Amino acid sequence: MARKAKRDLTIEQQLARGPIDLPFLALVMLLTAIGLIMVLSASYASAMYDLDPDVFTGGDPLYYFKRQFGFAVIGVVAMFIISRIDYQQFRWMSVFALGISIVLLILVFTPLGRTAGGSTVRRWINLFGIRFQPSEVAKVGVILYFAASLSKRNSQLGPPRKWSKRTLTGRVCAVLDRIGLLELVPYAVILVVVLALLYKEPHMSGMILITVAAASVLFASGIKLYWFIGGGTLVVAALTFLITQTKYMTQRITIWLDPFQDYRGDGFQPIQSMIAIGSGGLLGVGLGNSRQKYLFLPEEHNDCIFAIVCEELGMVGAIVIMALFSLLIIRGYWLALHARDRFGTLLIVGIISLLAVQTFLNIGVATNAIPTTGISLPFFSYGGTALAIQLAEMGMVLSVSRQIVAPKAE
Amino acid sequence: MQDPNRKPRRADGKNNRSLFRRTIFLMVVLGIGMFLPLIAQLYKLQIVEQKDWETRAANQQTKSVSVAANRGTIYDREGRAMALSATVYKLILNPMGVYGAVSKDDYIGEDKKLDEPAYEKALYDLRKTIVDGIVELFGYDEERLWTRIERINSGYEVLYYELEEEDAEKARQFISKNKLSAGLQLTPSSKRYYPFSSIGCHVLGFMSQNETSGDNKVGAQGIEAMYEDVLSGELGRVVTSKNGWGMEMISGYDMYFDAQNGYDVTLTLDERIQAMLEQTLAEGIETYDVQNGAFGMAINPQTGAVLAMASTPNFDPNNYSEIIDAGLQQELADIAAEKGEDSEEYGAAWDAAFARQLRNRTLSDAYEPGSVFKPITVAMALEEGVVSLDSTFFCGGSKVVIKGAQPTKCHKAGGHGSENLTQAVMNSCNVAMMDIAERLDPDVMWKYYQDFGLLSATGIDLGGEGKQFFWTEEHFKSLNGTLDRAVSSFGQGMKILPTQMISAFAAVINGGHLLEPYLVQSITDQDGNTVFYHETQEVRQVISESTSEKVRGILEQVVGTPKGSGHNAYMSGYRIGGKTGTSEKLDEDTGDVMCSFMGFAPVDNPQVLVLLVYDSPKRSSPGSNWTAGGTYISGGNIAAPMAGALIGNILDYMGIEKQYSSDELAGVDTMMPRVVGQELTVAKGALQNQGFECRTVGMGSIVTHQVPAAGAYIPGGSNVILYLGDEAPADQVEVPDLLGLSPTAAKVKLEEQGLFMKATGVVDYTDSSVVCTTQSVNAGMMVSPGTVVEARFVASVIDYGNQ
Repeated sequence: MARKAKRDLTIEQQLARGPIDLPFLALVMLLTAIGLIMVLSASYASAMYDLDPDVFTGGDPLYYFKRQFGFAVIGVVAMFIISRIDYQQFRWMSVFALGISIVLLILVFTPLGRTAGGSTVRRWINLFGIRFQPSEVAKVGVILYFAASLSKRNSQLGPPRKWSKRTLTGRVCAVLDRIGLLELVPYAVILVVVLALLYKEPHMSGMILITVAAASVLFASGIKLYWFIGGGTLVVAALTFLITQTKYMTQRITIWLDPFQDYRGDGFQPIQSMIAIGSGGLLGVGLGNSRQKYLFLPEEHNDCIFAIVCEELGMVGAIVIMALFSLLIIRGYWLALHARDRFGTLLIVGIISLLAVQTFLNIGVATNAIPTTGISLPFFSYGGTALAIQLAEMGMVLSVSRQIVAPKAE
Repeated sequence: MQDPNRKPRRADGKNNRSLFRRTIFLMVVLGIGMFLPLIAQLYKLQIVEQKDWETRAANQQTKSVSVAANRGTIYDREGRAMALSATVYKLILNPMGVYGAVSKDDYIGEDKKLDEPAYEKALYDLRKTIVDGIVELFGYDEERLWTRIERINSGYEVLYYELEEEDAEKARQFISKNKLSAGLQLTPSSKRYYPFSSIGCHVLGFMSQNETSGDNKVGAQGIEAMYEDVLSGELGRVVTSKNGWGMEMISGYDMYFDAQNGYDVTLTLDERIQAMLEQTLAEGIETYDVQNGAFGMAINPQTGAVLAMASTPNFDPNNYSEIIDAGLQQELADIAAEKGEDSEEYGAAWDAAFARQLRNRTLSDAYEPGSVFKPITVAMALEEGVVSLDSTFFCGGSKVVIKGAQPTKCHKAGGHGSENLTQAVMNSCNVAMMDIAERLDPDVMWKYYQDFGLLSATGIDLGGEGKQFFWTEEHFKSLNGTLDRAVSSFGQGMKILPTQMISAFAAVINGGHLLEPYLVQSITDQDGNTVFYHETQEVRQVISESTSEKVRGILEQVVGTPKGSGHNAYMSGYRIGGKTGTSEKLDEDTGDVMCSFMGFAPVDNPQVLVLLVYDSPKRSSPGSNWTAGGTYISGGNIAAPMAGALIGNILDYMGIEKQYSSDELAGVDTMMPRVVGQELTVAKGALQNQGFECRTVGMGSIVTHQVPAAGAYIPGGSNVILYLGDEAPADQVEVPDLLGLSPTAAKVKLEEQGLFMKATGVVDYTDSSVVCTTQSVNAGMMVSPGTVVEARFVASVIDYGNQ
């Protein structure tokens, strides 16, 4: 593609050619590289013993690593391509992204959908030979749409809309508008649709993450705080109800508090995870020397990969990696603060908040700081499409970073 | 900025400020805040609780195979192994491993679906191979094995604890042939063997599991318990890594911890002497119908080394929970027949029997020593100079110790009359002892009791030494203690331990040295280095050498003189000294007595000191002083003869040369000269020179045959037979029954048959109460003429009660 000379570009286009944020890129590449190495180490035993009934590794200990590496390459390429797109284009794309997400989520329940591990959980679909979770796409779709839509909030609010005071509906609407409920309705509807579809799969962790992502965008966009307080109260109330009233959740909590009461059952994974982390100590047993990956720790290259990190690299290594995540998140928000417009800010806030919460939940589960939910660790957990999509999201952040106006030279 | 619908600046600014603030908020909370609890949790797991988790990790990631440490051997004095360990094997089934050995992956067909029936069949086949094999090899209960093999959550099911090498080899071959190492494992452990079964059982102890030892057996009781740490050594381990399915991994994680073998312990105990002692106890119980068992001990009085220690009933340490005593078995059988084996009474009786057979009475149970104690009284009196060998006493049958109180009786109703000190001991006179006690200051008496070790444990190296029952010092020395002091002089009124009695007695005869009795002579490591050697521990010198010598002299008279109360212990050729005891059990109202004897030999240089106690020989009828077998119940009639024979046997075994007095020398074995072919007169002269008498059979002047043959040793003074003319001795003659005969009658009866008598024990040809109790060749046996038959004589009617 022939590159146009700078002078031929509009200001818009010139801005879109700005430099990408190098610190952010460096952190992303660093985490991706470390993540790959950890997948290699963690998946080694399970690939060698061909443990996963859904995957045929042929006893190749590098099986998972090779696939992950391939997707990482694809993801990095995608990230660069996306970072070159003028993110203003995402505004119009967001509608389609949301639409596609919802379609894909529906497709899960068609013959294209796939289950895993012989369970009845349908979270995957197989499209053009690629197997992935539509919920990964849906996260991006929701964030994009919410960011695009909410960035126009100021202008929409512009002059307050006049409601007819004569009709009842008019008066009710006026009240609802004043308290800021009315503007929430479309978002609520979208969220409810997506969550309902995920609920049907079922996909608890997906629901949590999408809710968090959507909430973060709504929060940043200036929605009145009492809605968050109200929503939070509602969630806490609902959780309390679930925990105390449903056997499933009660058990989950009791297992969390004392995993040893069901050593061979639900407590097994947290215990094995803690054994891995605890036996790592301060400095770890050394890269590649994990003993827990030898058929002890379940999900060792997926949800529990951080436990292997802790075992092999010790507390020092774990803290270094958490610091990298922390820097990435802080840099992400820094970019959000400096973004050229509200859309850019909200988009980054959504993506980074999602990444941050995902990181927190994953490490929290691995260390048994919070009850078990199946959430993967960004850049680390095995899962090709998830990694590629993750990198693509980073590409969006980088795309926004291009249009940041450089501070005036002193 | 490029927004065409520009809003009023204020609103925009306000909104942007809100956006800015909220994003900063998110940045702080999600970028930094949320990592803090995670780091705290990591700190908790990886630093605070690190050791716990590491241990858990090691437990599941490594397979620790213990390497049994060889438990040290317990040897007797002569190096005979009395307790030794051999390697046996534990056969362990790992149902989890069996389950994991059949992989589902192998049964995934082309359709990528698990071929359920094929998988199930493969698993079943593998299990069946194991079950069938084990059932065939060792006869394990098939149904039970199926149950156990299906416990897939279990990785450790012990099928057999103690497979001997031969069986283990079979199992090993079975495992390797069928490639079952994931499901069956053999681990070495060790088993304790006691080659002499019950001999010395109370001293050796036995091995059992306890609350803390888990699968391992540890020493319980005796030397096994006392020296558990020394004997056991330390288990070794081979640690290998394994994966989550329990399979061993080829890796560099293997670690070896060598087993530290236990040390060998050499006892002062002598298995042969122990066997003799136990045999003596058993014989006495049988002969005199003793109801409550017996106990005894033999020590070297010069060092305190315990040569033997026994108590009945006893047990077999190879199988300690089995009741082996015939009497106890009978009791249990009676209860079982009456109440049934499930009854509470049976359970209680079994428990009681079990406790009884494990009890080492010699070590644990205090008793009233009775007259055996008298030498101690005499020794302190001589040492203090309140009496001398020339002192005379008068026994009128009783003594009034406290004016106005009941007189305390001597056992001989008529009294012993006038007697010197030696005679008083020979007579076992209580009155004389009370006279002596009267002359002793209470403080001095108490000091001697203390010095003789009667008020404290002996310190023998065996756990479970009991405690004496003694008066308080205050009471003993007070006016109120006068009577108690008097009776203590003849060993009544207090209870002391057999170990205390024997070590105090040893001090009396060994020159006055109170020694600590001990059982472990030395401890050696596996390379043969001695890590401990017991030197004689002298607690203190109690009396002088000269006093000790005087008492030894008195005690030799007790046995050696025909009128001595301990004469039944006399064995010609052995200089035995000793003292009898017939102690009343004042805390029981059964009227039963303990018949005991404490004897030592040789008198001039004591090498062995023996205590025998028979508890309650059965009276023929209530109130009678006789056993059903016609023996007067007293230490002198029951314990002394048993002790005499035992001491003789021990001295023979120890190779201590016999010493004969001139009288005894007449009966010593002499060689029969060759007289065949000689003139009768010449022959008679030759025989006379040798101290033989002779009788002739047949007519003629030339000796044609002789009985016994030339070169045979027969007791001096025997009546040999010379055949003249055509007469010849018979090929075989029948041994007559000698039991119950007097020495003279027995000798005549034997010589009639052309047999010769070697008399042992109390050979008093004038006392009609002396009778033969045992003969070396049983009546009715056919033997060659000239055979020497040994006969033992015992006086059964020395009618001294409280000797």
